[in-house]
Amino acid sequence: MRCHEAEALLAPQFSESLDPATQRELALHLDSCAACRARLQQEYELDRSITAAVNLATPAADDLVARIEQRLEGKPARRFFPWQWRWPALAGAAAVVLFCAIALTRFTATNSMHALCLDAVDDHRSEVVLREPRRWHSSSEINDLVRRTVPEAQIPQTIAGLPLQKGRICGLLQAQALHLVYGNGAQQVSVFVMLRRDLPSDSLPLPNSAKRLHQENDGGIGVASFAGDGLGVVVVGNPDLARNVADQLTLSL
Amino acid sequence: MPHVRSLLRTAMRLCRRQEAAEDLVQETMLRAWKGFSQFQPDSNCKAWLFAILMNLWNEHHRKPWVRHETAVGEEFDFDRQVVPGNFDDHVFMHEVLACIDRLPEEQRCVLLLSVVEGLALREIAEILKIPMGTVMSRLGRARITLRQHVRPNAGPIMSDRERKLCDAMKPKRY
Repeated sequence: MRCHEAEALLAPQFSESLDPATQRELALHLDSCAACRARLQQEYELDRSITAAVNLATPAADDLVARIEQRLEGKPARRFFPWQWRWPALAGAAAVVLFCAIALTRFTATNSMHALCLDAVDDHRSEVVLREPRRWHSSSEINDLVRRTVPEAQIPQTIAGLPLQKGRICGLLQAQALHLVYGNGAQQVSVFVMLRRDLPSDSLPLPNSAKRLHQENDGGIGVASFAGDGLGVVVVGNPDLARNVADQLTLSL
Repeated sequence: MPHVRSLLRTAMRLCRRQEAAEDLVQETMLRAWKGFSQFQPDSNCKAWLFAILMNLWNEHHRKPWVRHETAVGEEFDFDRQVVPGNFDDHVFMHEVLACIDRLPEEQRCVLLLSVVEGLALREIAEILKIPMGTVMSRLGRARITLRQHVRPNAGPIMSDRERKLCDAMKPKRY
């Protein structure tokens, strides 16, 4: 082996990768070559210098070891939420979700009934107040209409001193309803009777209850609605009169 | 806790900032703890830990902000360390460390794992996921660069006691 061949193999770490024959040749060369022995000595010196410099530039690891041990023992340095507050936090979150769900349901129900009532007010305004031409049935023909639309309803002939004048079948929010008009020469009130199942589903009260669902004024016209046993009723007219009629119907229907 | 000091030594030369290096080592140990079932009992634990460290380093190093942070990160305050020996020794250590830090990262990694940590070339090849010939060529180039830039004939840089300590830390190869 020549010096330039030996030089390439003098790194101490290379020894493991040399095959036995090359190792033997290198050893023989080093025995006979003082320059290469000195060079090998320099390589060792270089390794010592590197190791010493890197060691001296490395800080103590005691604190780091303590921190790691703390983490491994399950004591994280920082947690997003203190563990002891987990149940109160979960309960609070559940309450917020529940509140939002109820509020959303109420809001939706209110909006659904509001739309139904507005539809009824429109019908009352155009057909009763403005007397737009419609095909009405007289009070004597009402029973036939009742049978076709709300068969189980007992329609009173007079409410709040106002006699039943006429009636017709109409649509409220695409559901079939019986539009009855009670009144005298001075005032009139519309009563829309429909099957309970045709009311907006999210606005239904508990079964077998007669509960006022909605009451509002729309441009001077009052509207009140309630759901009875199997029936839903919307009353439209003078605000006081509408509320009065709705109250009486709550008892009779 | 074994090998933390070794991991920190290498991490310091990779990150060049103490905080970043300690974070890297801490993350390495936590990941090793979580994945301890993957450790094969008959293999080298130190090499396994270094494989985790290098994987983490590569993961983070790909992020541009980390690379930027490393590039402009403050150098380790060598002057605050208690360096044994005289002024010449101190200067010489500066030079050696500066030369190591100036090496391309791939050469620096091989040099640290091989020379400082004493891992076998085969283990380094596995850790860095490169062929063994590549490990040898990188190590050879790193040694040539260091030999050229580190002052020759700088005189004794270590006391006999330090020399013995260094020798005791190194694995016997010849």
